[in-house]
Amino acid sequence: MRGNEDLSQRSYLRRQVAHLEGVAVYPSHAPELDEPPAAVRHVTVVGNEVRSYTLAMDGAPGALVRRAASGDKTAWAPLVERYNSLVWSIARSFRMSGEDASDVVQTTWLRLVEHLDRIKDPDAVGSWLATTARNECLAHLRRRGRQGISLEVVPEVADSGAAPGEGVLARERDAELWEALNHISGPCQQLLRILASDPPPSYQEVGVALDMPIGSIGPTRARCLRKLRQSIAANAHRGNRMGSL
Amino acid sequence: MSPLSDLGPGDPQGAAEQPEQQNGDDELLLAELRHAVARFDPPPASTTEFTLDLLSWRDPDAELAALIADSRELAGAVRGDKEEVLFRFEAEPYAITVEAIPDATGKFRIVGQVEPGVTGQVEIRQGPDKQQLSVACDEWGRFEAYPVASGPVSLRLTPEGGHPVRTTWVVL
Repeated sequence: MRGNEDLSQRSYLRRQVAHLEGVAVYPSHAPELDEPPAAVRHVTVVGNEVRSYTLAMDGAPGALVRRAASGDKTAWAPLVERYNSLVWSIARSFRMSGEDASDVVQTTWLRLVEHLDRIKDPDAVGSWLATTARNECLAHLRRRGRQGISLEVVPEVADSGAAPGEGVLARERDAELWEALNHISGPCQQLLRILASDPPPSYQEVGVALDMPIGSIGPTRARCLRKLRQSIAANAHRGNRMGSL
Repeated sequence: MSPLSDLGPGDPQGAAEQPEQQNGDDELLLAELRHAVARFDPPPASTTEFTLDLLSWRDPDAELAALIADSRELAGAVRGDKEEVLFRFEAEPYAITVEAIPDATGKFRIVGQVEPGVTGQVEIRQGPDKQQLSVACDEWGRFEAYPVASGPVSLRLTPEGGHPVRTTWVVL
């Protein structure tokens, strides 16, 4: 029993290390693992620059949910890794402050622990979490009647997220995109913020998070990305004008 | 299916149609945005650590008491952080009424009663990053606890000689 747990812990750790070293390049260089990976990194390369690492999750999460429901801790960490970014992004997309968003995230996961053995469709646990996070956000806003705050956050540890192979261009690009995101309309900001969670959420998850028909997500996404491009261009224009003064 | 899965190695002949080109551009922009968001607004490490710890909070042996009433959800309720809040939970055969009274420091005093009255122990669970409290309830089922932090809270009642009951999480 103990031995089994150690083994799968080690396998999970190795997966983590593989990510850090940028080894787990999907799809051709997936690392050899003792068990099918719950997570693999997509790496997006533009020119010589690594632009993004994206966690892509393989396999249905239902088995992890069932194992966690029976108290298996090695099944819990992959669930957290897979969905924590989504839950956080939903709270932030409702313009919650860092503290309030943390409360929403904590409460959402506590509710999952509370309901682990009664989730009707364990494979749809992502949608369950997204729905719960949305409801927590709405309840929070209703109760407190507080004004939300802007998504804009001072990047306190701006360079700590530097990934291997990443240079100054990627850093500037990140700043440019983040500023552009903060200058587009609320609904588009909300949709893109959730779509940009890591790993990418399913349209099912996005749909329940925003109470939006799945069929309209694709077209809305295209429209919002157009707005993001316009916002990038407008910011660049402002920057140039400032520079020439 | 992952939205990125249709990026793939793509069309080596470069004969992609215009809409597919647009879709590929959109996927790349979204991937870049994902990178930017991961840099500027990732889930705080403290939140992730908290979440990783949570499975040990599984409590399948205790009966789950549902939230029946929350005074903040009543029509015409006054909205404000300084107001006291009243909750009622039920799980056969118990009803638990809880009043959370904020003090000047933003902490709460919890005053509660279990009906029918039972002696026993009440744990105030505040998530793994906060102090856990355990207080006795008297023969009328009354109990009191201080200080309780804002954020998610759940009570766990162990009645003397009875089956344990846990309340669903509420947010103070």
